[in-house]
Amino acid sequence: MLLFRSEEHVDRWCELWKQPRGATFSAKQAWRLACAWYAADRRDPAWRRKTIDEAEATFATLGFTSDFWRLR
Amino acid sequence: MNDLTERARAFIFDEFMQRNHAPSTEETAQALGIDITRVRDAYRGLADGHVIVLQSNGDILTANPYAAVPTPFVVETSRHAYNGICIWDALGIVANVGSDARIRTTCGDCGDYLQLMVRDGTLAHGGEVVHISVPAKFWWENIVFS
Repeated sequence: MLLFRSEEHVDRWCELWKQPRGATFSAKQAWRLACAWYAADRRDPAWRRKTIDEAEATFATLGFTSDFWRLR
Repeated sequence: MNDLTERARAFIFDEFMQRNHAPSTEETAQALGIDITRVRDAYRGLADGHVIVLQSNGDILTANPYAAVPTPFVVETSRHAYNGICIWDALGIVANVGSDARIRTTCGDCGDYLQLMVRDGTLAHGGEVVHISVPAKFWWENIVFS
């Protein structure tokens, strides 16, 4: 998951490296995703990885609802 | 996840958060007062559970969002300069430590310097775009590339 100056730079990178155009989103959305995914303290004995359903629900709350974000 | 694995997980993440340090199996064994073979088992259990990623020699590569090696995603806080393996993890480090930070990286295409600032839980940015080419269900087939 890389950061680019703009959508045009993503297009150039995909063409250069023969990579499919996957998902693009704003840095602000990435920050929200990072907070939802990583804010919990992983030292806490009660911490658990999200289940597939929980992870997909987290993506959905952030607007990531396309097939790209499906986990099964 | 058994008690030993949970203790190892807590120690690993505390070392990353507090000291920006990936503990070796020897260090974890000493800290927890247990045999190193049990620590290796705990590390493998954490890796199987996708909590950490191990290098081929058994050392920690990542305890996501923290990376144990230098990366192009540097997270500067008042205490440490952490590394994340991607922009998501770099932002994740900021969320995990809960402090103001500056992320230093470059555009994946042109290599121009880019930085993201987080102050009081708010991200300041200039319209940069995040891209991931691998669909979510395939991320753990090659998590480092993803």
